[in-house]
Amino acid sequence: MLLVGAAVLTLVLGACSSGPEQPAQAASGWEAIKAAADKEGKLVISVHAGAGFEEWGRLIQDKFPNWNISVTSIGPSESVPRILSEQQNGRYLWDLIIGPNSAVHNGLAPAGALADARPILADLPDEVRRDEDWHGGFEMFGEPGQGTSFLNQINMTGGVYVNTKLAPEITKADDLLKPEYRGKIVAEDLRQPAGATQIVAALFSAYGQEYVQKLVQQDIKLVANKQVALEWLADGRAVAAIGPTIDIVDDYKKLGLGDGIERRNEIGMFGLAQSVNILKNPPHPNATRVFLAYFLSQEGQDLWAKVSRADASSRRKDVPRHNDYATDYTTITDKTLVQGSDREGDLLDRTLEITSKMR
Amino acid sequence: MSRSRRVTGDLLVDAVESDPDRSDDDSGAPARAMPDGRRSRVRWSPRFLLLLAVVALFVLGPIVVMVPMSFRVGRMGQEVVWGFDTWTSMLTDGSFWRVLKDTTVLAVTRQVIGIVIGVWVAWLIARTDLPGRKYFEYGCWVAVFLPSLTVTLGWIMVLDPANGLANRAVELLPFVDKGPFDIYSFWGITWVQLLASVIPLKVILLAPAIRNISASLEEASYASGATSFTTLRRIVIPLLMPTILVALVLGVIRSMESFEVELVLGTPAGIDVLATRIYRLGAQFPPDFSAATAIGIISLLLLVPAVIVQYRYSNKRSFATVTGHFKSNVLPLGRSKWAAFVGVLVLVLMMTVFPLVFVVLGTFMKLFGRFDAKDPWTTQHWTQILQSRAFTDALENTLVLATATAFGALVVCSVFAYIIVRTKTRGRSALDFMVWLPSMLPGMVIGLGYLTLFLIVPFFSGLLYGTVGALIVVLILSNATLTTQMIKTSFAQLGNELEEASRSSGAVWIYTFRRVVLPLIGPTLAVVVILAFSSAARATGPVALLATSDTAPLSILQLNQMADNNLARASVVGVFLVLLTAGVAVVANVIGNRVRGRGMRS
Repeated sequence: MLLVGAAVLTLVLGACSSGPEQPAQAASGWEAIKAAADKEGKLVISVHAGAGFEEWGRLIQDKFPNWNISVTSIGPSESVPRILSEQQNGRYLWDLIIGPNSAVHNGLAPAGALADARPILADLPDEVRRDEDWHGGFEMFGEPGQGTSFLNQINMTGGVYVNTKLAPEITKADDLLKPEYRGKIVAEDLRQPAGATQIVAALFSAYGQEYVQKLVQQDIKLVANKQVALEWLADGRAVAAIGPTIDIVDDYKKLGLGDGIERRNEIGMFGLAQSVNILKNPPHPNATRVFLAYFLSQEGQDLWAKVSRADASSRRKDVPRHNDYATDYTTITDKTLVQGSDREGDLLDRTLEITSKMR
Repeated sequence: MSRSRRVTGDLLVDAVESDPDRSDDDSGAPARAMPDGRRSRVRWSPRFLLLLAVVALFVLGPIVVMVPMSFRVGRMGQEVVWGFDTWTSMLTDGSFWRVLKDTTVLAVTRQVIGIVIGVWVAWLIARTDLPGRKYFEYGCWVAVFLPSLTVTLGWIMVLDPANGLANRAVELLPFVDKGPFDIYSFWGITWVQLLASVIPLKVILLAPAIRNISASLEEASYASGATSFTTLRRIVIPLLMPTILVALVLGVIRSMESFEVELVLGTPAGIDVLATRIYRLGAQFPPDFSAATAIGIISLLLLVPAVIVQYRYSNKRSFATVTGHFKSNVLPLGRSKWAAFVGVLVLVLMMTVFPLVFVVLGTFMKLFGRFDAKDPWTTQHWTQILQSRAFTDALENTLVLATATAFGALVVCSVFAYIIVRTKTRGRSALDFMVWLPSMLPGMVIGLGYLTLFLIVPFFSGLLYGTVGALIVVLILSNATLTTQMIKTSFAQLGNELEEASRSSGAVWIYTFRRVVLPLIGPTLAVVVILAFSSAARATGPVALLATSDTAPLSILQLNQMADNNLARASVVGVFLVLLTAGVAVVANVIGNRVRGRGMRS
C-alpha cells in the first residue's frame, strides 16, 4: 500500500509543478534606477555563515532604513542547494550572494545560477568603477568568461605552522617529507575541501602531484577542526600543522599560549577569492544596482573590511587595512594562485582525489 | 510472559494477557471477532484516508523527491543525467563497508549498555524510595539539553591522552608512565555518547512508563519471595518491553544520525560513521547530495527491520497496566538504598554537573577551555551576544518556533497515537509506519527533501515557503516519531476498562478524555512538550535550509558562532537554550504531575 501511495504521490507532485516566474526589469538611467529601487524597497542577500557577516547585515539595514533588507547568514552547504533548487523550480528569490567564492565557483557558477555582472555594473555611477581605485583594476571576475563573481577581496591565507621549539629546521615544503616527521604532522580533516585541503592544493600547484602523494604517506594525523590542530601543535603531539589560520593562532598567542609556533609563509600560501555575485533574474534588479553602488564605494567596502571577518580587506586602494591579517595587495601577482577563481582550475578536485582516500 | 505469571500469580492476568482484539494484522484485514466466530472486515474511513493522504504528502513527499537524487550523476545544478554511478562507486568502495561496520558496532554497543543502565536508573527513579530521585530525573533532562559538542570538549579536557586531567592524575601514581585513557577512540566515543544522550534519553523515556506499572504487580512478586532484581527482570522489563523497544529503535536512529561527537573524537582515530560521511558530503563545495542521499537510503533500509520488529512485538499482545486495579506505591530499597544513591549520583553528576560547569565556565573564558591562558577570564562574550540585535531577534523566533512546534506536535501526534492504539481503523499500521520515517533519513537529506517539496507543490510554494509556518511544519514532522511513540506507549498502558466505565456512566468522549485519559497520560504529555520544545529550539539541519534572516532561531545564531570557531560565544547561546528548555521542563513537569495527581485522586 505504501508503494502505491508513493507512486500516486510522485504523479501528484509531478503534476503540481509551478511555472517559472517572470524576471523583474531594471530601469534605465541612474535616477530612474534609484526611484525604481525605492519602489521595490527590498533586497535579499545571502552571506556566508559567521557572526561578522550577520553583524554586517544589521548595519546594512541601518544604511537603508526605508528598505527591507534580508541578509541570511548560512553556510554554502545550505545556500547552494537552496538557491539551485529554487531556480530549478522557477523561483528566483535572491538578489545577491556575498562571501568566499569557492562554493559559488564550484556550485552556482557551473550551474548557470548567476547573472552576468558586467551589464549591471555598467549601470553604476562612474565614481565606483574607476580602474585606478582598485588593485588590479575595477573588473576582476572569478569566471572572466561569464562575467560572474566580482572579486571584491582576495585574502592571502594558508601556510603551514611549525612548532619551532621542536622542529626549527622545517622551513620549506620538502622538509615536511623527511622521515623523522612521519606521524608528526597534524591537519584539519583533508578528506573534505576545507581550508587545510586548500593549503595542500596550493602545495599541489607549487610542487606537483607527486609531492602531495608523498605528503599523505607521512601518516598525517587528521583532526576535526583547525583549533584542535593548533592544540596538538602547541602541546607537542605534532611538529607541523596544516589548517590553523592566522587569526586563531594570533588569539592563541595573545593569551600566552603556543610559544614557538610560527607560520612558514613559504609553504602553502595562496589567495582566497571573496566575491559579490548577482543571482540570475534577481527579483529586485534596481535595488540590487543601488546597493552595489554603495557596497563597492569606499564607504561600503570600508564597512565590509571592518566587520565581515577577522581577515577582511578590500581591493579598493582607499580602504585601509583594519587588521594585521588583511591582505597586502601589492604582493599579489599574475602568478599568485587564487582559489575560488579560474586560476584554480580543477586543482582542488585533483588534490581531493589523493587526500580523500586518507584514513 | 509465562515466567511473569509464575511469579505473580493471577494478578498479572488482567495486565499481560494476550488480547485477541489486537491481533489484527497490518494490512487492516480482519480485526474483530463476531459472536458466531466469523470476523468482520473493518472498513476504510474516508476521514482517516484523508488524514493518511495528508500525512503521506508530508512524510513520503520528501523521501519520494529525494530518492531519485541518488541516481543523479554529476553535480547539482548541472544537466540531469541518470545512472547508477553513485551506487556503484559507493558499494564497490571498501571504505564504505568499513564505515558501515563501525556505524553498526558503535550503535549496537552504546544501545546495549545504555538500555541496561537506563532501565535500572529509570526504575530506581520512578518506582523506589531512592533519595533525591526527583532531582536525578531533572538531571537527565538537563543532560539531554546540553550541547553535545561542548560536552565533548569537556571530556577531552579530562581524557585527552596527552593532557587529560584523568591521565595526569593517574601518572602521579608510582610505576605509571602513561595514563591509560584515550578519548580519541571507540570507547571514548561510546563513553561520551552514553553520558551525553543515550542514558539520559532512555531514563526520560522509560521513567513515565514505569510509573504507569501498577505497584501491585511488583508487590505480588515480592510476596512470592522474589528479589528486587528478579522483580525487575521478570515483571518490570516484560511489561516495559514495548517502551524498551521504542527506546532502542529511537536510540539506534539517533545513533545513526549523530555526527558531532564522532567527528571530533573519531577523526584522529580513523573512525568514520555514516553520519560523518554524510556531513562531509554536505559540507563540501558543491555538496554531493547524490552520495549523501544514497547513504541516507542505506541508513533507512537498515532501520526498517528494527521498526517492523518493534511494531510486530508491540501489537502481539496488550501491555495495559493502568487498569481499575492500578496502585501507585513507592517500593523500599532497603539496605541497598544508599549504594544505589551513590551510583546514580555519580552517574548524574557526570552527565550534568561536570559538562554544565564546563559550559558555563567556558562562556567566561577568553579561549574556550584554556584555563592555562594568561588572564583567562572575560565577560565580553556575554556582552557581545546580549547586545546584538541578532540575539534578540533569534530569541523571539525561537520562542515562537519551539512553542508552536511543541504544542503542534502534542496535538498532531496525540491524534496519531490515539488512532494507532485506541482504534481499529483499517490502515492504522500504515500511519504507524509512516511516523517513523521522518527521523530515519539524515537531517540534511530530509531537509533538502522538504525544501524541494515546498518548492514543487504550488500551495506550499505560494503560502508556506520562506515563512515561519514552513519551519514549524518541518519541526513538527521531525519530532513526530519520538512524540508519537511516547504517547503511543502511554496509551497502550491504559486499560480500556477505565474509558468504558466512564462511557457507561454516560460521559461523552471529550469528557472521558479530559477526566480519565488526560490525567493518566499527563506526565508523558509533559515530557513530549519538553522534548519537542528542546528539539525544535536546537534544530539546525532542516532549519538552516529553510530559515531566512527574519525567521532564524537561536540554533542558527549558534551555528554562526561555531562557523567562526568561537565556542565561547556559541556556548553563551547554548546556555540560553538550556535555560529556555529547563524553564519549560519545570513548568511542564509541574502541570503534568498536577494533572496526574488529580487523575489518581479521582
